[in-house]
Amino acid sequence: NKQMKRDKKLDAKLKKNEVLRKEAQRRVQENNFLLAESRGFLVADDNEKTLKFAQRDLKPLLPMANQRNIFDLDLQFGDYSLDYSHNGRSLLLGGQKGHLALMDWQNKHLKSEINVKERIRDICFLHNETMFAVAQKKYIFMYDHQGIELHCLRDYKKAQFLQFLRYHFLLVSSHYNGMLRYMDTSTGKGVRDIQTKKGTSCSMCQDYTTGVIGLGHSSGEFTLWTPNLSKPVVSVYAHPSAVRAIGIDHAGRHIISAGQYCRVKIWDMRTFKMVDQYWTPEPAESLTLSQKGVLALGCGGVVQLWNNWFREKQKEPYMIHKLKKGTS
Amino acid sequence: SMVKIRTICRDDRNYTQKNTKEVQKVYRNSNASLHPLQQAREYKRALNAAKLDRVFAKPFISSFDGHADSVLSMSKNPQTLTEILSASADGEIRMWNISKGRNSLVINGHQGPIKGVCYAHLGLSSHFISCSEDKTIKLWETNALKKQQKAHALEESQASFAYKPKQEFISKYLLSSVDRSFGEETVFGTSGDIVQIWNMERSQPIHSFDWGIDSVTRLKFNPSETNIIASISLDRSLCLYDLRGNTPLKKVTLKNKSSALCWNPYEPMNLTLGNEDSNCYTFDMRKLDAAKKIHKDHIGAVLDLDYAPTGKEFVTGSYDKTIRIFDVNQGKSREVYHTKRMQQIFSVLYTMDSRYVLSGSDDTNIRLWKAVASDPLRPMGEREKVKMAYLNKLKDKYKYNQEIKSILRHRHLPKTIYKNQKKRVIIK
Repeated sequence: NKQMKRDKKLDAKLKKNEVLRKEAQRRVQENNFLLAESRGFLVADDNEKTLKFAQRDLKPLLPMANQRNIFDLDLQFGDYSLDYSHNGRSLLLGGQKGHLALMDWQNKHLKSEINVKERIRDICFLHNETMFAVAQKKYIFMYDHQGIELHCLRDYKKAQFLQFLRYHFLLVSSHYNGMLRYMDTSTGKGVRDIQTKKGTSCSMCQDYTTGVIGLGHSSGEFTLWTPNLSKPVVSVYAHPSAVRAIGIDHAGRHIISAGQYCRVKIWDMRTFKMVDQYWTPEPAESLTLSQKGVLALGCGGVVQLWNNWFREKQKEPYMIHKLKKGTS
Repeated sequence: SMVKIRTICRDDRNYTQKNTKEVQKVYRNSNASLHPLQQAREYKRALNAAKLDRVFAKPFISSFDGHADSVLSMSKNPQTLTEILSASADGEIRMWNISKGRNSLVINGHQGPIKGVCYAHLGLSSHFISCSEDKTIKLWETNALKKQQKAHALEESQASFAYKPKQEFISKYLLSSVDRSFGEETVFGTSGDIVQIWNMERSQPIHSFDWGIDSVTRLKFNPSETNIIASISLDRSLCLYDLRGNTPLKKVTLKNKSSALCWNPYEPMNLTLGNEDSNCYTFDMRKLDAAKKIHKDHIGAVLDLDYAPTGKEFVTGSYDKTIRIFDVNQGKSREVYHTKRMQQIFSVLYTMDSRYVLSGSDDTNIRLWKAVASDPLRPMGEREKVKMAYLNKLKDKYKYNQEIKSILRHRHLPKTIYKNQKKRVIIK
């Protein structure tokens, strides 16, 4: 048995590449010192709690530029779906009664505003702020940033939720009666239609690190889907009630599900075991996570912000914001 | 107060360029969660780069026709990029301007087939030498020839016009090739029955080397060690001579006879032989007992060989009607060019800007090809150059990946070559 001789030239090449790689990593780390902004925070003195400070109390403590950024929008056209574009510059608002508004969030300028005159269930930006998809009463429509209707997807009926897989150029839509459909927006063709067999889903989210779609069902389970399988990748029985909201953190390590009976559960993404559970005053109907991992729950008329939930079980929320009476 | 608060407060002025002279500040956060699916995205980019490489692989530029018989030998002007000489089997020498694709001179130089044509030393760049089967060696001078051409054009006589060489040498022995020295301006050598070294100022050869019974087919002067000459002969050997002594230096015999020979201009101790068994053998002249590298990809005898000025690649022309470009350190060719109309290739050249390859073949045409098949050739702006460099690096990084490798290596081959290559794999 001859031992394979080591290729000296290849060895030398690999060594050299390793050195270059390490140098590149070091430079990238060094580069982080050049980042101009640092993380914001709210820290209370020993005997005080951060959640006691309302937004209007904190406002005078902020620099002028930030104070000017705080404002209220009184919107009358039903429940609103929100979506930010990937660079955070544009905001899309879609009201249940058909109001669509595209805003440049940095300048707080309204770019375009239309009323589609029918029910809007969900909205979603496509690859950038120039195009967005709207799940309307019957079909999915695609609009331009000027509000011009580009496409009416007549095959995609009664979509409930929309998600855009940015790196795959796939528009994922969850439909009435449990259809999950993937469409390639670069070619305009449907890639995959999956019948989830779990009825109309209650919520939908996306794992940004892998492109996996999470659906929350009325049976109390949440499932994870990829377009190459016709069965869910993972199915977890999370709540005894419908899963009203679902979210996956930006690092792809935790799934957060909110049930009808006021419970919010945190699941580990690898073991799918519950890590923590929290109680909310009212069932959390919407859930979202910030880039730094702050969890925001919309529970009835209150918005709760939870910080450091991934480190240890939190006793209370980080911040609370009470909305005007009648809003949720 | 009872609470500390800090928010991100971005000043627009810090993020916008005041004027075009100011450098645009780009802030890159290396946090992995902001850049998901990095490996998959990079792979996709590499895949697309490989596919585009094949899409844009259009190596053939043009063919120069004019010769009436097969092109046996070519030479490139050491000073001008656009000028080459080609010599054919009917005794005609043509000087071409490659960029214009036209003849500048058509010389009915010899009566027999011209075996070798070669530009003289850099110091005498307007001179060139041709040797032919009719045992004559002629030294030509371009400017004089052009004057003759003009004079003839003015005369407008229909009578056949013969250019006059600057000097003519008559050899006692048959001739097979000619090459000039890199050291002394007036020294050149011819091979044939024996190796003869000439000086332009003398009518008789100044040295003769005779080792072995068989005739010598090719001769090449070393570009750096200017006194060393390599030659290949019909007794399947490679022979090294030194001008300073009067005897040959070393001899190495291979299994089959070689037809092509070239020194590496960048590493002048290395030379490559093109052999009848369709392989190319790279030797280090200091250690001739084993070949440094065997380049195996042709299926017919390798007839001519030329190195790129970078010394990293060489181009070979073979009897199997294809041209291949090999990397010096690789055993497999990087590129293969073929056309239905191109027959056996007797001579190849790699231009001095290392971007083009020329082939002179049995079908009387000289063809100009790109050295890198997907090279856009156009002048590129800075951003485009950076992008191209990135894509090339990606292709290089992923060249061992199965899918990308099969895309990058894919070449359409004529049936005979494809079948023969398959056979060879089976025989192994």
